[in-house]
Amino acid sequence: MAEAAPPVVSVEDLHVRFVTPEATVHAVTGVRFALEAGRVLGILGESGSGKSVTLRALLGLLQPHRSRVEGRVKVAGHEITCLGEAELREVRGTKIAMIFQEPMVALDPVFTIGEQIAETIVRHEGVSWADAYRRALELLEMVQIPSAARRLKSYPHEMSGGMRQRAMIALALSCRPTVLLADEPTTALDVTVQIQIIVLLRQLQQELGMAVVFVTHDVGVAVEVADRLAVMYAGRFVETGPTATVIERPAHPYTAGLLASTVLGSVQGQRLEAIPGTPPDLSALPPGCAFAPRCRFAEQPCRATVPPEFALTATHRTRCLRAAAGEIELVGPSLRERAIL
Amino acid sequence: MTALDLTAMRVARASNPAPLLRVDRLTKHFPLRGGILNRAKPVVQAVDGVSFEVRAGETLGIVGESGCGKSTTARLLMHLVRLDSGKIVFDGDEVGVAHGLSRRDLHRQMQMVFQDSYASLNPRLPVALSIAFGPLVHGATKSGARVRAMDLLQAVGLDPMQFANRYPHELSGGQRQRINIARALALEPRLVILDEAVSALDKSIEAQVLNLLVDLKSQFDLTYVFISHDLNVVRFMSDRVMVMYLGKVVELGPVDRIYRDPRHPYTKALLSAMPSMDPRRRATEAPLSGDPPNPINPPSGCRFRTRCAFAESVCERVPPVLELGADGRSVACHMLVAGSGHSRAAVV
Amino acid sequence: MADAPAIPLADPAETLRRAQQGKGYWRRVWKRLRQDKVTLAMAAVLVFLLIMVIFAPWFTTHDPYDGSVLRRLKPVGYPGYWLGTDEVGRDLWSRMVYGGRLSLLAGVMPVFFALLIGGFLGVLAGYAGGLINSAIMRLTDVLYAFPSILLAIAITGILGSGLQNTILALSAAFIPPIIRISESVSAQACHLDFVEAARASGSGTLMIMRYHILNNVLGPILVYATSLISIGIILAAGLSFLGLGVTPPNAEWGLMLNNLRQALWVDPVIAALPGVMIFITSMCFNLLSDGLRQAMDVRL
Repeated sequence: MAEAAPPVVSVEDLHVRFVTPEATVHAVTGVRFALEAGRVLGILGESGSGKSVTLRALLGLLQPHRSRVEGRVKVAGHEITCLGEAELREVRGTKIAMIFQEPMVALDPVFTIGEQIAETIVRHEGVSWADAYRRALELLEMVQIPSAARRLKSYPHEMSGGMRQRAMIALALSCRPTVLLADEPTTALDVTVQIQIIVLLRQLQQELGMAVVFVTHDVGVAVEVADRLAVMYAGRFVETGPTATVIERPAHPYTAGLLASTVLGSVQGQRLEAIPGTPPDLSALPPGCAFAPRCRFAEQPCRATVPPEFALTATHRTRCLRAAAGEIELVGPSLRERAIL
Repeated sequence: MTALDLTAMRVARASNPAPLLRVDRLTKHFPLRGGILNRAKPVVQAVDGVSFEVRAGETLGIVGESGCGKSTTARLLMHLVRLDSGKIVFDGDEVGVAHGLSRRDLHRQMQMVFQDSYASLNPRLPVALSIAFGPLVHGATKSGARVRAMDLLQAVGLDPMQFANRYPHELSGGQRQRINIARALALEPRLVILDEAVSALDKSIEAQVLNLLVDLKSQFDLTYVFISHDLNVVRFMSDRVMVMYLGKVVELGPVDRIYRDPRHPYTKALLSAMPSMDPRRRATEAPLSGDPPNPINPPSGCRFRTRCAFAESVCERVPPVLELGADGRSVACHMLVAGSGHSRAAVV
Repeated sequence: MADAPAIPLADPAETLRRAQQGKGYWRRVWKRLRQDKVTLAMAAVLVFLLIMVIFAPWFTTHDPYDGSVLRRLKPVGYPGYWLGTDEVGRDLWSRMVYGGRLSLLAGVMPVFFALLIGGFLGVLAGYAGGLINSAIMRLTDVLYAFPSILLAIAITGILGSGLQNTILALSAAFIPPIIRISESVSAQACHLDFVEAARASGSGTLMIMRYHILNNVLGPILVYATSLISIGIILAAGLSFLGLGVTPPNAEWGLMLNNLRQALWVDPVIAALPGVMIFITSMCFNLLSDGLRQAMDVRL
């Protein structure tokens, strides 16, 4: 079906550790994935799973004096771990761009939107300010900000939350990046605004052919956005595969548990299938599978060593020993009738 | 409360259909500083003429987006914010009037669990003392209050031996929220308001806490008002649901019927904006454009008209009234009122 | 309870480990203080000073009031008087040690009184708000208009010199800043969510202040007060230097500085010694308060 496009993002054996006098936190352990142009990878995980850290490692945003990054991270043809700060600055914003949960992280409150976008274009592409402003106007129209010409002269605080988010997206796309990294961009938004941004991002991604890595904790959002899903737990990818496969035929107890405990389709009055226990302490991971303490299928081999990634099919991988061996039956939430209009 | 008391109460309630809480035209406007002198000062119309009932033993869900006024409504119910106008009647007694229920007595009957589990707990107090504070205020002895705190810790699934002397920073978000729930139950209230109580928790922890809430409701015979922006959670928890928009109630009724067959255009848009969980049926178009507007100086007439596909001139002139329909559902929309003047309404 | 919901608890070993990492706020502050070498050193110096000053007779050999014209202004290292003698022949070492008593008293007591009075008024103003707040704060503003040293000079000028009046004057000078900071911290604490939750349980003002406000404002106020001690010592010495504080023939560092001015041309080392003591003590309190502030800035 898809032609074998060379991967635009290629991560091999990524390890990130935060070293403090008290403890060493293993934020990311052994993460490996590849992403082609024009495809969206959704990284799904709860707080403390390491998903945001993975994203920041892709941009080289982790502070060198406290974090140890190992592994090969190749994004848009650049080996990120080998680049110096000056070279990283050239790559960020041009080849790789990032959008955040809170738009005020990216937008400077003392400059207008137009100034900020134009400045990025001038700085990275060396065109004149007049050309840059014209491009900024096109970008604002592309992200569907109404009255774009007027909004060029607006300050961030004069805009509503959804519009600020769009402005941040426009800023990120200003230099036509090859790869877009999105760190929970819709988490803080109201549901009617969230769906607008999701639809917009999908449209832009298809039009511009970008590769997108989208981090979220919301299963519904991940399903709406991603072609492939990577479920993350305690710093590791526990399952990766095409979205439909992972949702309908989960191959890891954590994925199944996550899908079952989302309140969809559950009957009112009955109990939810909650995953017992709490996430592990990343500075004191158990020797075997990190999910074993909470897993009702866990057995001795699971607790002994960390399970490697098993390939169930060419595209579907899991870190569950028992699921890979076919010993357990995991059921996804059946797509029963939902109140979809 | 003994088992006999509980049964007696349930029998009494079955024969007495009066609502536990009745709210009548609640209004709260927050004036803003600034505005030019002698001109109209900008006012945040947070809650405007909100009326509803909560029946004993049910869970009323309140949904809406930012600026809809649901949190302000919760604070008005708890009398943490003074009303501008309107009435709150708890179990037949009006609150705040001379011969009615005093604020202090109201708090014995009605309690609230806040969203931010960490900020709701005093970081300098051990959690057992945070729970015991309510009973202490109302005259319990130190040992009596502590025993109550221990019992409640057990009831919310935390081992009293391990957790009683902990401090909030030593607990996880889910554990802290259990403490907040225990604290709300310490005064043996009949109604508990849950203001986005699970919103800040991870999904797997959220499921645990929701199960706990369901168990506690039957164990202590509680009534819940469950406020959330998460439509799925509200559907799971509630019997009836109230949809708010910009300080007004737009739709109210049994939860399954509203979710299956929403009548108000805003409710329809809200429900269809939920992510689908089916990768083959992704949204291609957003049901609403723009952001929820600012509650400062809201649109005249129907407040939703600026984003409504069916808005007409009558919507601009006349604010719709929440009409109680035959099937127990209320909707505030001109399209559904015969003779309102809207082109889609039935002609009288 | 009959059937508590069967929710599995967190891993007990893990929760126990977390419990052993230190409990309440003050215990964690103490733990952090213990690890701060500079603060520990300062605290050790001050403790040593305190012991010396309290048990002065054990540490000195001569009477601080015993002067002799023949022994005037002997240099450091003079046999029998290892720090030399002052302008009327008294042993400088004993005068320094005995002088420490009065200097420390005059520096610490005002802060203590200001903390009691100012702290109470400030926390009340912060919580009460409205008219009470306005009344207290505007009164404070009036007093605040005076620079503290001028205020102290004015008060001692009216009341006369002596240790008691010095303490009184300095207390008056320190009350306004403590009211300011107590009010500010207390007003902030009032808007925190847990205070609102406490109000939601029907609690009155007094119970809320006792259980929720006080334990959250004490920390910052205490830090500020300890930083005032170092200023207090300098101000007390300054007042004595000007002749408005402790009176002769009592020993006190500021007074000694004044009296030894004439020795500046003869033996500058002797003339500077009381100043060195003032400097050391004041610095120690200052660094101690800094260390306390850092230890209390616990990221929870």
